[in-house]
Amino acid sequence: MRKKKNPADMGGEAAGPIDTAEHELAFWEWRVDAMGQLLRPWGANLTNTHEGRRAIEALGEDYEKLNYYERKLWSLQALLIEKGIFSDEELKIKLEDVRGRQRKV
Amino acid sequence: MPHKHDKTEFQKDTEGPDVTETQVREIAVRELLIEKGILTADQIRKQVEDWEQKTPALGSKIIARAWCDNDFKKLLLEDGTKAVAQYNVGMGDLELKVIENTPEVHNVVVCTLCSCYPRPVLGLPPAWYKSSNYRRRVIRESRAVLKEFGTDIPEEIELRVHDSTADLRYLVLPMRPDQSKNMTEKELSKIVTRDSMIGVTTVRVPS
Repeated sequence: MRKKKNPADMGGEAAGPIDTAEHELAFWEWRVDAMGQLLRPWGANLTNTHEGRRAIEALGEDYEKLNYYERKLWSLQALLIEKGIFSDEELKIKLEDVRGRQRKV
Repeated sequence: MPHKHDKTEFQKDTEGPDVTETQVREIAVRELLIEKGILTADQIRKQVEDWEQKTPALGSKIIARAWCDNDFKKLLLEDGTKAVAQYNVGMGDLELKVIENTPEVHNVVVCTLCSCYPRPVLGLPPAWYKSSNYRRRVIRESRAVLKEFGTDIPEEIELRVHDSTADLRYLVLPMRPDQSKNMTEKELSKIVTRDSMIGVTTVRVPS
């Protein structure tokens, strides 16, 4: 079998049954979707579908570990840092700040 | 479509005790985007509201019209993007390609690389459409996958699988069921399901 180019390139692989249960989006998932859409060419024009896909494929080993909207969120964060909207350091400080305001499960 | 909130109400999400590390990250990215003046909280709220309104019902209406109005059907198949614009649907920078099921050919849609989907027409894709098992299997063992959806496509019917891209989104025009001859366009729109427009099922008249 040829070497896999990226973790998303899975078409044609063997796999088990398809879980057809409907999933209703949690609020955080709706908001990740909304942020992604609002940054597209017809919104804030910071990024587009192609860049989004590239950033998701660049997740490498994390790709399999993350669920669908986590992949979107992680890739969005990477794109925003890449474009200098905020820095790695700013995100770190913000994450600490948000954590400090929560009692996590 | 109203949705249940997976135990996380809005306030709890930002203030309450049940916040996961993933939710922390969502809040952090969102707050940074707002602080940097890229997006406003109101824009995000409105975008979620708008998308909650988008359901496959719009697609069903478009398919029922195509079954009843030949000129519209012709336009829909020739230039899907232009045809759906009549319904105030903006495809953005995407192209919509409508593919017609016939007695000889059945079509089914996937996005093997991720989750590209005709969202402006059908709303957000169902979870199974985004699942790795659907993406993996439908291009190789299409008939077996369709069987799992309760759809039996006989060997003599050609089965075409369309792999969506970032730029090109597919919508299946299902076959109008024989038993639906006396139904009005409005009645027809009620029997066209989301899954039939993805191609994993066919349209049936409820008995």
